[in-house]
Parts: sequence; C-alpha cells; structure tokens
Amino acid sequence: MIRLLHLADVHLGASMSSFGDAADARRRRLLEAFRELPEAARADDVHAVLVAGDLFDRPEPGAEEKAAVAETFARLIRDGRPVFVVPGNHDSATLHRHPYSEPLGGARVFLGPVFERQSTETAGGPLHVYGLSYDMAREDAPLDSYARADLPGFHVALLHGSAEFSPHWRIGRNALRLPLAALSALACDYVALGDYHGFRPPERFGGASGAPACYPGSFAALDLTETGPRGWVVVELEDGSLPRVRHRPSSVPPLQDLGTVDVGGAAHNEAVVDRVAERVDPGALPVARLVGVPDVAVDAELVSRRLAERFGFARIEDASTFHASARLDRIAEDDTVAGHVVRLGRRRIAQAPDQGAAAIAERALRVALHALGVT
Amino acid sequence: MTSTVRFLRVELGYGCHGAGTFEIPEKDAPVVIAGPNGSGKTTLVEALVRTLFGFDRRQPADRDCLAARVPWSGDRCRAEVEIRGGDGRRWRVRREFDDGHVRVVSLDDGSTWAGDGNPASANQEALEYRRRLAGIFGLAEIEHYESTACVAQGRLLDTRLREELLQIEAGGYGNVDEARARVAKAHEALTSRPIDGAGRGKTKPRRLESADSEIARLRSRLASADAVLGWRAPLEQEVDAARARVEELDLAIGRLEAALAPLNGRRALESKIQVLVERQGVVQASRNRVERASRQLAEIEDAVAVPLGERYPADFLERLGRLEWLWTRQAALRADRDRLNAAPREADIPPVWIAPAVAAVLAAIGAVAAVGMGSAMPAMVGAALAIVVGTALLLHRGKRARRREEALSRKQVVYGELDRIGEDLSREMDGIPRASTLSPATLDERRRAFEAQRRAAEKIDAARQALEEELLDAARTLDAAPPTDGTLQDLAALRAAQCAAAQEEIRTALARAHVEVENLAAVHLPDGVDATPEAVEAALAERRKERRAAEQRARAAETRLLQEGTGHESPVAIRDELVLLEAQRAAIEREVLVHEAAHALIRDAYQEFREHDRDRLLSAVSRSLVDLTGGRIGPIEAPGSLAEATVGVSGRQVELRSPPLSYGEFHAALFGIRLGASDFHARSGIRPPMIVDEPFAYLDLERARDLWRLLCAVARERQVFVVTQETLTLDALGVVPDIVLPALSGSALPAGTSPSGPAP
Ligand SMILES: [Mn+2]
Repeated sequence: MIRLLHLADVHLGASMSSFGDAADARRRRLLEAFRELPEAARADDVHAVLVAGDLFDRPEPGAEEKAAVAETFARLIRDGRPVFVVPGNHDSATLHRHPYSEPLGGARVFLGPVFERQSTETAGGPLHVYGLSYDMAREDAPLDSYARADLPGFHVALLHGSAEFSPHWRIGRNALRLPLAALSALACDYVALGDYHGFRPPERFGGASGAPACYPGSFAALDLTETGPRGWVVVELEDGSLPRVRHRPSSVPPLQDLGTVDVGGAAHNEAVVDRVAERVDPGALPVARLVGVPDVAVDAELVSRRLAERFGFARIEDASTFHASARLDRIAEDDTVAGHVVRLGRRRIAQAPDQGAAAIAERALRVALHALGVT
Repeated sequence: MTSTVRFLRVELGYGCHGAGTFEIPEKDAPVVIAGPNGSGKTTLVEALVRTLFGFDRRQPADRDCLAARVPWSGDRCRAEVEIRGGDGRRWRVRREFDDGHVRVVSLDDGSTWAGDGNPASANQEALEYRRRLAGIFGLAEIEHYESTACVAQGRLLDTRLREELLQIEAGGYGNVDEARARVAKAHEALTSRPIDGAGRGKTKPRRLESADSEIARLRSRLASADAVLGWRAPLEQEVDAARARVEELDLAIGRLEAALAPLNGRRALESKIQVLVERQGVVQASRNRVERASRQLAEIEDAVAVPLGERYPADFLERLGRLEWLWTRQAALRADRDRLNAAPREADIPPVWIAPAVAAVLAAIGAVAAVGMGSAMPAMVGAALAIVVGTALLLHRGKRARRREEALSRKQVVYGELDRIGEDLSREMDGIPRASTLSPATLDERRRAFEAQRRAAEKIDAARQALEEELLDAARTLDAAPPTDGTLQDLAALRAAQCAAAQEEIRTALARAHVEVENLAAVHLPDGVDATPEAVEAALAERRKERRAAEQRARAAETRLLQEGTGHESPVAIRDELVLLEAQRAAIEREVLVHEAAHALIRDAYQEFREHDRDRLLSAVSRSLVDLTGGRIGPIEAPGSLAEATVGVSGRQVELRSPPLSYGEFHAALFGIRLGASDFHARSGIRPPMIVDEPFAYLDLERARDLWRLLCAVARERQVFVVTQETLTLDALGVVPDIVLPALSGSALPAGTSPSGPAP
C-alpha cells in the first residue's frame, strides 16, 4: 500500500481580486498554508507528493513564491517524500519564461511533451510516475504516448488537463482535453489530475469501470465561486482496488455558501447582519443571498462590510424584496415624490420582462428612495 | 404635518433703520406694523425678506433698491434676523448686503455656516445657502415668495390663479434635484456615459470604461497568446527539421570519418605493396645480375682455361728480352767454340739441332700420348722428357766440345761462358711453358700466345671484378653482411640464394598486404561517394559545411521560437482572468443600469407627481379657501385653464370675479389663492409668514373688518404681518399695532418698539 499526497491548482500569487480589500491578506495566507504541507504530509505519513499543475498563478511568479516552493519541496524531500510536478496552463512550460526552468527544491518536474516515467523506491513500494507538460505545438495527442512499464509497483499518471465537466474543456487546443475513455485507457493505478477547481473523487469518474482518476480541486478558494472546503487529497493505493481518497482542507479560510438567508421583517441593516452571522461556521467566510421582505432597504455593501469586520470577508448578494414591504405600502399612499417613486417603481418591477430586469428595477427603486432620503 | 415659519427678531443697519432692533411677538393673530407714510414700515418688512433672499445685482430694480438702503448713518448695510424655521429650529441669519455674504447660526446648538448668499450666484456655497434657506423657510427664491405669501402694497388685487404658478418648480417637492444629483454622482463614479442617455459623457474613464478597456486589453492579449500557438507549430517543425538534418549529417560525417582511416590504410598498404613489388624487382635484378656475372666469369674462365704448364709467367716479355740477348750471346759463343772445334775435329761434334729435335720429338710423342690418353700427364711427361733429353743432348755436345777444347784454354773460356749462358737461359726458361721449343724462331708465336694469355687473364679479371661489383650491389640490396671467406662463385651462389629468400619474403608480405587490402574494402560510404580518401574528404567537407548551415538554421529557428513562438502569457490564465473580469464588468454594468433606472425613476415619478400639480394647486387653494371662510367659499374647479377657474359659492360655481363674488368673497378668494399657492410651492408642510402691505387701502370699514377677520384666520395657521398706515381703521377695528414707527425721524428708534413687546 502506498500513500500519496495529491494537490493541484494552488495558484500561488493569484490576485484574489474577488476578495477586494482582503485580497492581499489572502494571498499571504495562501503562501503560508502552502508552507504547511510538510507537516500535513508527515501527519498522514504519505510516501510521495504529486503536484498536478497550476502551482503558480503566473508564468513569472514572484521571488517569494518561488522561494517558498523551493523550500517547501526541499523539506518534503528531506523527509523522504519525493515530489513530482507537472506544469499547468497558468505556469505552462511552453511559455517564454516559466518557473520550472530552475530547480524547485529538488522536485522532479516533467517537461517533455509526451509521457516520461520517473520511478522511485518508497516505503510503500516502488512508485512509477508518468507525467508530461502539455504542448500542443509539439504533441497534440500526448495521451497516446503512455506505455506502462513492465515493472512491479504502483503506476501513477500525473496530468494537468480538462475532463468533460471542466470549464476549460471548451476552450480549444490550449488546454489538454481528457476524455473519460482516454483516462480509462491509461491503465494505471491512479490518475492524479489538476485544472478543474472542484473536488472530484474517483467514484465520480465512472467508478470501478471508469478511470481511477481524481481532481483534488483548488488548494484554496481563488474567487467567490469556489465555495466549500478546499485543499488536497491523500490517496491510498492498493493492488486491485479503486484508490481510496480523503480530502484534506488547507488552512486558508474557506468560503461558506449559506445559500439564501431570509431577512424578512428585519427592521435595520444590523439585524440583517445578525441573521447572516449566526449561520457562519467558525473560520469560514460567508457567501449568502438575502431573500425575504425586510422592513429596511438592505444596504448590501454595508452588510458585507459589517460581516467582513467580523469574519474577514463576506460576499452578500441582495435579492431581498424591500419593494414589497409594508413600509413602502405606507409611503406609496403619500402624495409626495417618494410616494410616486414607490408606486412607479413597483409598477416597473412588475412589468419587468425578465428576472434580471426585475432585479435591476428593484434595486433602482431602492437607490432612488435612498437618494430621496427614505431609508 | 405642517410647521410655521416665524420671524422672531430683527436687527438692522438698513436704510432709515440705522441701528434698530425689533422684537416680533409670537402670537396667533396678525403682527401689525403701523406708522405714518414714510416711517419705514415697508423698509422694515423688506429688510426681513431681503436678509433671507438678498438682492440680485443683475436686476436694475434690485440694484437701485439696494443703493437706497445704505444706512443713513453711513454704516454698512446689513441685517440680522432670528427665525423659527420650518424645521422647528431657531436660526439667526445675518447678511452683509455689500457682498451678499451670509452667516447662518443655529441658536439650538451654535453650529454655524457662512458663505455666499448672493441669489445671482450659482456657486456651490450659494447653492448650499439656498438649500439651507429652503429647509428653514420653505422657499429659496424671492419670486416664489412674492408671488404667493408676500403681498406687496396694492398687489393683492393682481392675484390670479395662473399657469405660471405651476411652472415655479423650486423646492416644493422634496429634494428631487438633489436626489437625482446624488444618483448621477454615484452613476458617474461607475461610468463616464451620460446617465440619461443624452448629452455628452465624461471623457475620463470610470469603472465601467476601465473594465471595458481592461477586457479589450485582455482580449488582445489573449489573441496574441493564441496567435503564438499558430506561429509556434511551424517554427517547431522548422527546428525539428533542421535538427533532424543535423543528426542525419552527423551520421554521414561519422561514417565518412570512419571510412577515412581504412581508406588511408588501404592507401598505405597499396604503397607498401608498391614498395614490395619494386623491391622484388630490384632483388630479382640484383640476383639476375649476380648470376649473369657469375656465369660470365665461369664461361670466361672456362673459355680461356690454360693448363698450368702452359701458363706464361707474368714477366714473360722481360724474360724474352733477356733470352734474346742470351741466345745472341750463346750463338756468338757457339760460333767461337765451333770455330775452335773445327779446327781439331769438327765433325765429331754432333750437330746442334739434335737436342731440340729430340726434345721436340719427345714432346710430340708426349702430346700425342696425351691426346691419346685424354690426359695432360703424358704431354707433361713428354715435355719434361723433351726438356731433359734436349738438355742432356746439349750437355753431351757441350761436354764433347769442352773435352775437345780441354786443351785449349780459349776453348775452355768459351765453353765456360756458354755454360753460364746456358744456366742463365735455363733459369730464364724456368716456368715458361714448352721452354724447349722456345727459340728466337718461336719468339713471335710465343709472344702472341703470351699476349693472348694475358688478354684472357684480363678478361677474367674484368668478369671477376664485375661479379664482385654485382655481389657488392647485391649485398647492399639485401643489406647483407660483408663478403665472407670463400670463392667469388661461392659468394655469388650465397647471394643468389639470399636474393631468392628475400624474394620469397617479399612475396609473403605482398600476399599479406593484399589480404589486408581485401579486408579493408568493407567500408560503408554514403551514396555517390567514391571509396577514395579524396572523395571522402570532399564529401566530408561538403557535409560539414551543410551541417554548419543546418545547425545555424536550427539555432535561428530556436531563437525565433523563443522570441516569437513562445508567449509570455498563458492563454488559459488570460481566459480565466477574462471570465472573472467579465463577471465584474457585468456587475458594474448592472449597477450602472440600476442607477440609470433609479435616475429615470425619480425623473418619471417626479413628472408623474408634477402632472398632478394642477389638482394639487387647486386642492391647496380650495383647502385654504375653505379654511379662510369656514367653508362658505370653495372649492375651486378648473376644467379648462386655470384662468377660467370657478369657485363654489352657495352650492354653485361662479367665476373668480367680483361680482359675481362679493367684494369680501373676492378678497377671501385672492388670499386663498395666495396662500394655497404658497403651500403648494413650499416644501411640504412648511408655511412661510404672510406679509400684507397696506391691505386696508381704499376699503370701507365693513370690508376692512371682513379682511381683518380673514387675516386673523390666516394667522392661526401661520405668522402674518400687516403693515399699514391706516391707524384710524385700526382704531375702528380695535386693533393695537405691535410695532409703531414714528413719523420720519432720521435715525431715531421707532417709539414703543424697543426693547420688545407690543405697544400698549
Ligand atoms: Mn487552475
């Protein structure tokens, strides 16, 4: 039995621009979390580490990122855990300059356009890693180059590419496409994948009849769509059975998708803040969609700011329907400009041709009332 | 909910009121300011109004008026009013009329605002002041005030319900302009495009435009990153092709270089064979020459072989010289002897020819015997016998002569000398073949024989010498040891044998060299290259040159690949960034649309609101009419234009004129219009004071009483100032003025108005 730590899509140096003011801190946090890998590898007593691409967010990462990677890999290797790396498409080796042109702490990097094999002896048995650096200009069908060596031990393919469900599947030849059939045809014990930022265990690659493949997902949420736990997987390989994969979260605070939060009847923004806050797990960053009919024109900016003060970051989408509130009913009765605004605004919401237009009309009513001093 | 604005106090340095202070009583009845004509009543209320609104220096009337308000004391024109605002707070507003500067102090919390209060100014300060003024007073423009609640002397009858009233937009409906400005400002932070789709946008890009240009930049970056892929493939192919050619050439060069050594080896072998062949020729020639010389020597030796006894000594010719003399002497002596012998008996002396004849016979016998026996021996024996017999015969004859001459001494001397000569002769004859037959007669023949013999010896010597030379030459050729003992012929045989051995050796070496050459023939050369070192060298040079070119091509292509064929950016990364940015842009655009919609919503709602202005004005006027008259008059209806509005009286609608309205009803209607319009214009619920200058002029007492009642009704709802000089009317109405201004007194304070309180 061999145990592998498989990670991908760390995107060190990513801008994290979706996190606004928290972006800088998050970028630093990501680097710190990456540095914790040797301890994590020790805790799970893995025999080797596989990095399936997009370790760096850019082909020319900063000195700090490169140094952190070199140091972290060197520590892993010093602990007797060899590190195998393939470049991704953010840090592709086909680019003019790329981070893999220099040694990274002794990691074994696959830079050829077709499969190469690197073998090593581990406490868990011999390990044969087959990797490649996708370069369509040199080889556009690199999967065909796989040839399983007739050697005892575990045979693992390491690839950065897009399976059919990955958003990069459609972007053409710049990304390596991995049809399920081709993955199954590789005939290896495990296919360590990177590129898709969600976690996809082998069970979701067709199970026993499919490919023993796995996407560990991104190491940490890089934008607001990447909710839920993020980190890496620990894989146990044993002859004749599907890989056993356990997901391990990185220490970068995850985004917690609270779904919809009903703020019906909330009389002020602080109440809205409380409604969201009471549902946030410790250490998580809330992402929520407000619904219901509050008695206040929710100021999503303000609510996000307040929540960010408490949790470090928050993303609030406001789909609450203040326009239907009793408070506006009262204002609508007045023969004032505000009354007319409410009445006309409500008509426009009702007449909106689609939901998007209705949402714009709803928010426009709120902005108009706010401008008129009705809060 | 309504709130009433009240003037509370005024302090003046204004016109005739050099340094006056007036306290204004708070009451729900009209504040009456009375005084004779020219006492400054109108100036006082004007000061109240102008302190708030100022003068518009662009208007000639305002300019003239302001010039006339310079205090008579010569001080600067200024005024300060205390006011309870429509917001319920107390304010003090002070104006410097020289420059229009105002100072607004909250008497509740002491907060102060100061700035330009000039009505003609459009700067931010002036706008702010007007905003504040609207908040305090309900109106910010003096025109709106003067067309409604502020009724100048004699202007009440001019009051009309006019469409113009509806066109006065200012302030009455909440902060619509401000609200729209606020929305527009937020919009402007988002985008530079105009918020209402009309007019020109800002030139400076805002968030939306920045996002747009960032997206455009990303797209072009993406396009070039993608394009790199297009350039890359052919460049890669070019590099591959060049590299493959270099490899091919390396292979060919390797083969050629490998072939070169064997080819050079063959060439060396061939020249070695050449050398061997040549040497073989040399040795063969040497051997031939030795053998020929040896054969020639043998032949010559055979040809000129002289039996030992036939060999002439080398000094044969010298000996012949000496023999000739001896013979001559002998003959002379013999003649002497014979003469001597002849004397006694010459006949007894055997003839002299006996001896040679006998010797010759013997020799001949020997020779015949020798021929017959095939051996030289009998010849030699014969010769010896001949010599011996001849000699013996001679000796015998000599003895006989000597004996004969014994007696004779002379005879003896002759004989003695003959003997010596004989001895000399025999000594000289010794070693000469067939000496017996040697005589002066055979001399020539003998000399020729000797010459022949000498020539033969010379020939042999020459042959011998030739052989020796050949042997020396052969020794040199063979590099053999110097001649050893043994005869020349032996040596010749030895050398010939050595030559043969050497030839054999060369033949072996040649055979070996040929085998080697045979082996070397197995070289692999590229097509079209001859198997010669020269051809190979030429092919090598050509291929090395081409290799250099191919290498250069590969390097150039690699450089281009690096420069043009590898992007600096990952298209996938750019695409990811683009997706994010487009989402952000969509959010910004959504906010832009929201603000545009909000802006339009306020505009449209306001317009909708304004579409009801007529109704609102009519209902405000109706309401004030009903309020003023206790329901006797009203409501106002205007199905057509406002000018044709009718008013309800006693259950029917009549024109707004007197008649059909009574004079009092008409006045009530005019006040109703004024106050309704004032309410209509004022910020919702704020009621500025009503000022009526000389309302009682030309009124009889009855009508004045009606009007007074009306004003008292108005004063329940708002502050009312009545300015009048009609003291008789006041007396008749039983009204005590609150402020009485004395007849024009220059700079004197109006009596009974200071410090405060109504006059008794
Ligand atoms: Mn990635």
